[in-house]
Amino acid sequence: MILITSQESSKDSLLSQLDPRFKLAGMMILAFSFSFVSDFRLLGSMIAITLVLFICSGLTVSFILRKLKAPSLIILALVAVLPFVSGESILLDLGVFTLKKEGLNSSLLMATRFLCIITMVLIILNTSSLLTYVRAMQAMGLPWVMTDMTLLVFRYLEVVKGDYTRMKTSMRLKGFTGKKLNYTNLKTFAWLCTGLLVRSLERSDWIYRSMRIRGYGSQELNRHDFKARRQDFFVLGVLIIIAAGLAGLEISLG
Amino acid sequence: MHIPDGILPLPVTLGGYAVCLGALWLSLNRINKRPDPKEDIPRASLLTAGFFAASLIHVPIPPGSVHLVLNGLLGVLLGYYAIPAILIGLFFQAVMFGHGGLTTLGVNGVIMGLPALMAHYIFRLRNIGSPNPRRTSLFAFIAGAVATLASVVLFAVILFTFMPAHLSRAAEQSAILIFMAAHTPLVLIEGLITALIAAFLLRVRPEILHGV
Amino acid sequence: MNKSQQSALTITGLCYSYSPEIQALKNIDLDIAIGERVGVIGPNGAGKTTLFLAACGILKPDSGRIILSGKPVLKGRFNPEAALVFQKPDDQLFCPSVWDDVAFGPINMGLDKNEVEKRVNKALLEVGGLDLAPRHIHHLSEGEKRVVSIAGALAMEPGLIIYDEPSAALDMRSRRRLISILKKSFQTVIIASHDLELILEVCTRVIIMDKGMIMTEGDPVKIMGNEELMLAHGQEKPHSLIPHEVSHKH
Repeated sequence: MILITSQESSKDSLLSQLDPRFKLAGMMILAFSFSFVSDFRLLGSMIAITLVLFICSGLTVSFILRKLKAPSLIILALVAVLPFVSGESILLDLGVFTLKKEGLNSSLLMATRFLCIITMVLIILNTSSLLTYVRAMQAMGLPWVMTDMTLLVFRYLEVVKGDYTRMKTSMRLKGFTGKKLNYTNLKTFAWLCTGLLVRSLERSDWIYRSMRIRGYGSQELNRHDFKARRQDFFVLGVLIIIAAGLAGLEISLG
Repeated sequence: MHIPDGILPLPVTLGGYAVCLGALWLSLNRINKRPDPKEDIPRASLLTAGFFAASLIHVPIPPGSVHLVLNGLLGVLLGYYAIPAILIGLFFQAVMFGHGGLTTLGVNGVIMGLPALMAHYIFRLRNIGSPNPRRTSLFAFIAGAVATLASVVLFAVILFTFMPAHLSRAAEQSAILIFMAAHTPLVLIEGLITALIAAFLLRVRPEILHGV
Repeated sequence: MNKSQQSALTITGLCYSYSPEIQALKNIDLDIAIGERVGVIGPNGAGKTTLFLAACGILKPDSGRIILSGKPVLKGRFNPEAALVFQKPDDQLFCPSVWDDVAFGPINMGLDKNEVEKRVNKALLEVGGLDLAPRHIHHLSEGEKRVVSIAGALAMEPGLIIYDEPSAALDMRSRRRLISILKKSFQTVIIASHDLELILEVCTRVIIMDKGMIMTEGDPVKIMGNEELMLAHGQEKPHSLIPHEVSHKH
């Protein structure tokens, strides 16, 4: 399941037309400001901001809900347990379990923060391709080691996953199910990992030769086509003001 | 063992970024001092992709199954490239699967990355004395198990100490201990699988064990 | 003009070993004139790929000289005069998008943005792959990947292009497309292939390599029509050279 697919949003939407560097900066600033919120009275503002971004993105509700399904399960475990173990003021006494006010508040707070951040990130990252964002990070000064590695990992992830799928199929065809925990099965898993790593290593030797033949390392490169326009600065300015506003309100209410 | 967005307070997430970026800066410094830093980039990148795929493997640990972590082995094979590799892996996991988070990228980098570096140094101890397959497997086991244990401990301590829940000290400590106990089988299995993989690599491509 | 200046590639006394036990190239002498299309055939392990890597400056020979377009080839130096198209496209197409990959060589040659764009478009047009430019490489079929890997080589506008098993894993349509690209090319071309019919159709000279040495070379029909010679070096006489009552070659 891929949270981020390329260009899911309409190319005409406001967010799709913005400079990805500015979108990344705005996204992180807003995400951190969301994570700073702990006053319940500000949760509504967080949700409202997320909704406005959603409207500007051109994405559909069904798309968002589909993508949120798996990540939401992760937080579910945490927030389901907390109201019963954390806090002192009892809201509901169910005999064996007691629902506590502070635990419930913590759960709601964490769940809302999590959902708003992940939805906001989902919205912004789906208004340009992942590759564009990696180039944007390069243009923003990401060290060359990180950029080169990120691009190669991005390129070869599907290829290596393909190797894994083929090897797993081959094992299944020979009767391996891997459902029992025993030494023989662990050896087989280890052998599968070894195979993946060795194939990756051998492939990397050829890739390096191919890169060298076409001049890798002969030039110091940091060329990009991004051109900031007035609306990019404006939108980033608005996002910074919103983030600062949230933080300021949090501090003054706290 | 990735902490999602929205759980930890801002000072902790920013602190995580500070520590992680410091580790990254040190790693990149070491990498750039090599005679030909570009030479190892394809190898480090493809091994990172390999580890990403390997983390899809589910090992049965009753009552269910868990996916392999292998950050110990990653540290053993990648050395200083482990920190960039882990950050890139975490970034893709967050943006592709919603697993982990972007505000918590630094914290998760610390949870996975520092133990990986630890594993690298533990494994290098096998070279003291005469290296042989038994020593290789033993030190690989220790490196894999210690890295997983360290990640489990870091995850539990950071999560239960800093999440905004009104837990008493005793409850926090219990939660941490219960979490660690529940992950003991995983720690042992990670150690065992790391040892098995190292033994196989020693037979098939021994030079890979010298690190990138 | 002396001989090496008329040549695209001149190799003298080339030796290379991967290890003391494995000597991959033994005293190779080779001279390829500008514009020639040379086929290299031989069993697996004959040393063909090793020869190509040495010619492109990837491997440092133990002894011998390699002169490419009049200049000596040195290991580690970028030689855009020679391009090598690998056996497996996935080993060669390392950028996420088609456009980025084809542009990689020209960008590293220090060309400006407009020139890079011109070369990428020209190369993709030559291989009939202009519509592939915006696509991600991992979504391409094997045939499309092959075509893009050739475009990546053409974009550097090298004098010499070396193809290592270019028709491996291609379906018939993609193979025919490849053959027409090879026949149209004006560069000097070296092709290593087990696809003997392709060699017959495209090449003006053929070399047999075996056990790290050049065994013989000459006219493709004469060499590949010699059944005894072909069998001696792990090859077979191409089907189209076996006498037919009615020739099917146009």
